[in-house]
Amino acid sequence: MSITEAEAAQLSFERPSGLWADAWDRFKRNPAALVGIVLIVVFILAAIFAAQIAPFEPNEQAGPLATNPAGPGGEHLLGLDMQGRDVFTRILFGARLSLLVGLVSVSVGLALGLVLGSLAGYLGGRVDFAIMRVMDLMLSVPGLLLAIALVTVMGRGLISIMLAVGIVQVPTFARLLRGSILGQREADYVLAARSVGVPGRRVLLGHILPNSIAPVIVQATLAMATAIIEVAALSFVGLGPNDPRLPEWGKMLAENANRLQQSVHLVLFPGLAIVFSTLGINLIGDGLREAIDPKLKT
Amino acid sequence: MRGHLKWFVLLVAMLLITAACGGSEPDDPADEGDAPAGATMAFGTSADPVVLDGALVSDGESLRAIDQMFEGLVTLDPGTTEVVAGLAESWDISEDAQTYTFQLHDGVTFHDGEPLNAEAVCYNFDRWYNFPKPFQQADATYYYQTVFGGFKGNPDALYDSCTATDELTVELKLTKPSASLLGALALTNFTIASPKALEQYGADEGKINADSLFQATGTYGTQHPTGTGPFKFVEWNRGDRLVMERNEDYWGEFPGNIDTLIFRPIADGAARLQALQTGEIQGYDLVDPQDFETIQGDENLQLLERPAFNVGYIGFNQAIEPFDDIAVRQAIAHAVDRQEIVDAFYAGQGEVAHEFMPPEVEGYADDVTKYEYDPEKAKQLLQDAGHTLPVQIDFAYPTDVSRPYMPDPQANFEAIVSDLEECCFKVETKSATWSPDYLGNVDVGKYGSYLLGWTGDYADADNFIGTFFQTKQPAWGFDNQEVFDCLNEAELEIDPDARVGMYEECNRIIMDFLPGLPYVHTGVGLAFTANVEGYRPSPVTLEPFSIVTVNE
Amino acid sequence: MLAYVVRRLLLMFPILLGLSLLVFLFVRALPGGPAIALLGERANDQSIEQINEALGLDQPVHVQYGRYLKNVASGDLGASVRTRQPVTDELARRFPATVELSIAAMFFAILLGIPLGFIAAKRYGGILDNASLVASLIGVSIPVFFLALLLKYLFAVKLGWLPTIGRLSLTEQLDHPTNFYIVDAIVTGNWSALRDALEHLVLPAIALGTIPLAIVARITRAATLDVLSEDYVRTARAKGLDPRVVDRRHVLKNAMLPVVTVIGLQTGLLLTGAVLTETVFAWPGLGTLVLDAIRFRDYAVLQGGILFFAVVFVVVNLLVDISYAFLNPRIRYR
Repeated sequence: MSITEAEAAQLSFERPSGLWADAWDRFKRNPAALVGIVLIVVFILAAIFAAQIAPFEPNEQAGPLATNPAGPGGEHLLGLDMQGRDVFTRILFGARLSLLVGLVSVSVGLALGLVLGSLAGYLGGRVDFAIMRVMDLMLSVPGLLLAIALVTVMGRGLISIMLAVGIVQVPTFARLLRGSILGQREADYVLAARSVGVPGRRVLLGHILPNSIAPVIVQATLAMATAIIEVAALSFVGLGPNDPRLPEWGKMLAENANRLQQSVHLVLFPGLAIVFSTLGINLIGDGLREAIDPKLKT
Repeated sequence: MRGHLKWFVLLVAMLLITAACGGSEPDDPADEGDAPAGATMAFGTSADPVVLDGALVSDGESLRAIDQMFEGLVTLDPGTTEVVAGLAESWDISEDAQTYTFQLHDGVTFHDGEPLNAEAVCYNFDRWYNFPKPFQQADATYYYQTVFGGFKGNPDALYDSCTATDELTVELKLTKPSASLLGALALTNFTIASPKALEQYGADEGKINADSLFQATGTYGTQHPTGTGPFKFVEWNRGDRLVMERNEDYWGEFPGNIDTLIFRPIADGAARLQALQTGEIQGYDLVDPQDFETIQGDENLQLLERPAFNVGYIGFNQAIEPFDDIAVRQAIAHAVDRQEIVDAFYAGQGEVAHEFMPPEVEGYADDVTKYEYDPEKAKQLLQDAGHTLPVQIDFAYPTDVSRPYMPDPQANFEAIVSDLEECCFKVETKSATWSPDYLGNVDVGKYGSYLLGWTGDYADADNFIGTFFQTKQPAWGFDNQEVFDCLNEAELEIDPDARVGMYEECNRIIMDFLPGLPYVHTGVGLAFTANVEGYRPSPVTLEPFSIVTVNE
Repeated sequence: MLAYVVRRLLLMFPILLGLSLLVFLFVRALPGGPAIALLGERANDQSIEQINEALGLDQPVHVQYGRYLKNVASGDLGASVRTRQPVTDELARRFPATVELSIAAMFFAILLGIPLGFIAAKRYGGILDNASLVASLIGVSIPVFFLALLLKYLFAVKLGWLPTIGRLSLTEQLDHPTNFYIVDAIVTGNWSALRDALEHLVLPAIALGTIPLAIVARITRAATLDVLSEDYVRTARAKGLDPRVVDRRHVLKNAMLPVVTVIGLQTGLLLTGAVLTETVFAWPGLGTLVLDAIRFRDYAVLQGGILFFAVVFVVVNLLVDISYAFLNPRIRYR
């Protein structure tokens, strides 16, 4: 899911003054977005207070080792896994990991995308051409395949997963930013700044970028949801984090995908955790999008 | 959640409607119950065969299929490792163990109608010995090279000549004595193919393609495998099914009733079980441990066990600290609760291993040093050797793989790590996809300790401990002449009893030296529908379907 | 128009060339090698060396790339080291499976998504609108493999209504003139196989089609809202035209432009989803082929597979652009 360049350009024409206040006003009145906030707050609280809420340690053997571990019930709200660990505990600790991984990978994609996109948009010409062709190339490989390829090359591990998922998002951010900068390069206030002799770099940093930020924030929010899902997908195809004992949701789900028939709880609960967290983020992102520009009713 | 579900139900319903619109055809409601004439058996395998030419394969699925269509001079009694007559009804081995004379059965024909005679047999031996260069790659002809030492021009080659002294007598001459060749000839890799078909369909033709990779251009191994076995090739649609039919002219006994035999590759164990439950297949190999309960609890299904012929172990690399310290190796052996792991993850099929080969193989010693679960003792050993606890070690496991000796490597790994850390170690975990990364890293000695195992090819101690410890290997990282010598001498010994004694001694030496910690020998589960009778699981997976009956 | 198409076609070449280099470099950058993949536990140094030599992996990289390009240009993608089959054969056999699945998924997404989005827009702000909005958000929030597993668990494992894996039951005998099983069954008049193949198609298609469904619905809704507020629609309404005619002739037709674009973009994304969906349902398509190739370091298949994926993706995007230009005359002159 992403915003088109046209939308981005349109979004950016909003003048900054009063935009945020208006947006917040609209956001508050959007019930779906509030549900999103509630969901995410729950997950963030779970992540912060995992150690306090959880009845066990994430790697504590709380029950017997078993090929077919016990399902939900009794002392173990969401059942046990093969190593006799408490699934509820691990899902709580997993929130920490998933949110962190999502945040870091989006930051990677955002940072690289911002730099490349603004270079391309602002400098134009050959730089623009070169950067955008590389972006095209990256976009011509389906995202997950690209991430798989990157992780395979860099070797498995949390770091390479975050990098890979981030890199896959670079073209989206770069295009978005370039589009919105192109839309504003000729805007009155930019021309004005130029005409009074403000240096190019300051025009970019001080004027154009801040004004392009709204669509970027929306996109970054949505990208966070994509990132969480993509990390889980990497785990699913066997490219998850290296340490098998990490309670990463995608990994927990993937490991037990072949136990659907006997131990559906090992697939269901981590899966639902992914669904509700990404849903929360998507609801917020969607709310933001509408709040920032009510004309975009997507 | 409820709204969400409802939504899906709605979608499904709508799709079904659209699907029905897309293909409204006269549905015959009675088309479910048509029973096939004569028994059909669909068997779920874990993968496609590579190619149906025994000389060119080493993977289990190719061998399984070839076994049904081809026969060797000798074979194994179903369900055992005992060598019995195959195409040869009798044989004679000369005093010096350098000349083998085989007397062939009379009246055997290949599936293409050609007679099986001494010339045909020698044609096969000559073919293998004279394989062109591309075929000489280890991936193509691993077993020939292992058993026969090499090809034409190689001074180590065991093969000297094959002569048809009369219509049905084959005289096989070797360059040096071999006591173990007869058993090796029971391998599926040495089954006899029709010379006419081999030539007609270009079994030895190939080109070197642009990648310098040999590529068979003939169609023999993919469309025209021609042997003498109880089943004939019909068709092979890769990724979908391999179909064979009963050989009506089969010379030997065919006690079963299967007319059509289908091998269907289904990579995923859970999917194999589901296919069995829905009746799409009547049997499958490699039952996942978590499915044992389900199968045993279902009166329409049955579970068979293939005897343990493998070993799962933790390998130690003594080139990496601190594994060079015997105290560390012993401490690990005492710190891991092997019984708990075997009980929990092997569905009652496993037993704790105390040596690097299963008890069924001759040369197994009953009185090796055993290391019982005793974390206190482990701590003591480490402290006595001057280590501060916890001791830092690295330990690796493979992903993306399930082997009979470790159906779920990660589960074993996590349980072992948990034991180790609870006692007195700090583990740095490593992992990689099984093939090629993990195996590659093990082979070059990159891991300090690692999970691995082995499934035997044939019942010989040399195939287990000889493979592991006969030479210096980076995976183990040790240079212990006592072990090497022991195994070398045992391998060369011709007297069977002396040989057994020597291998027992080797096992004692090895388990004192503790180059790794064997932890499991496990049986493998096979599942069938309840109406299947007569299947005989074999330790080396030589399992004929011609003795299987499928009841209505 | 023709000039535009030609120019777009020409623009494809540098992209394809870049892709081939990218894919080639990627494969060379992989750790490990195919030798061990081939031999497994039984690999030793000597055999590894032998195989690397045979594969030409001991030569300089630029020589390897040159040879690779030449071969690709002549349609030779090499042979799988695992099955020893030509990669082109392998792709030709797997491609129809993935296309069949993708078309079914897209069919599902469009057939449900457009009406859903349209109705939501017509009832803007109503319960149905909000419900469909939330539903489509849930749709994009579910990892496709989790959805696939849930569907499989519910409808195949628990209820047993639909088959769990593959494209066709073993009990069906079907000739494969095209390898599109639905087409094969229709062409050969094999109705029981057709029904069986459709049953196999249902769950994977729903799993794969859900995200596109959600997105198509959202875009249709947005586009319809835009068009509804246009003057000509208001005018048509004001003139007293039958609302259904207005809907059909003006609203839907004009709203289709962005929808077509999104459908095109989604078709590309389907390929990604296909990798995961195919894994869950053991669907013998390109996705499972590529994943296996990665696992087993089957260089030739991997190179061929990814290149093929990317080419399909590029071509689909090209077709989208062209149809877009066709639908929207203004774009041609840009």
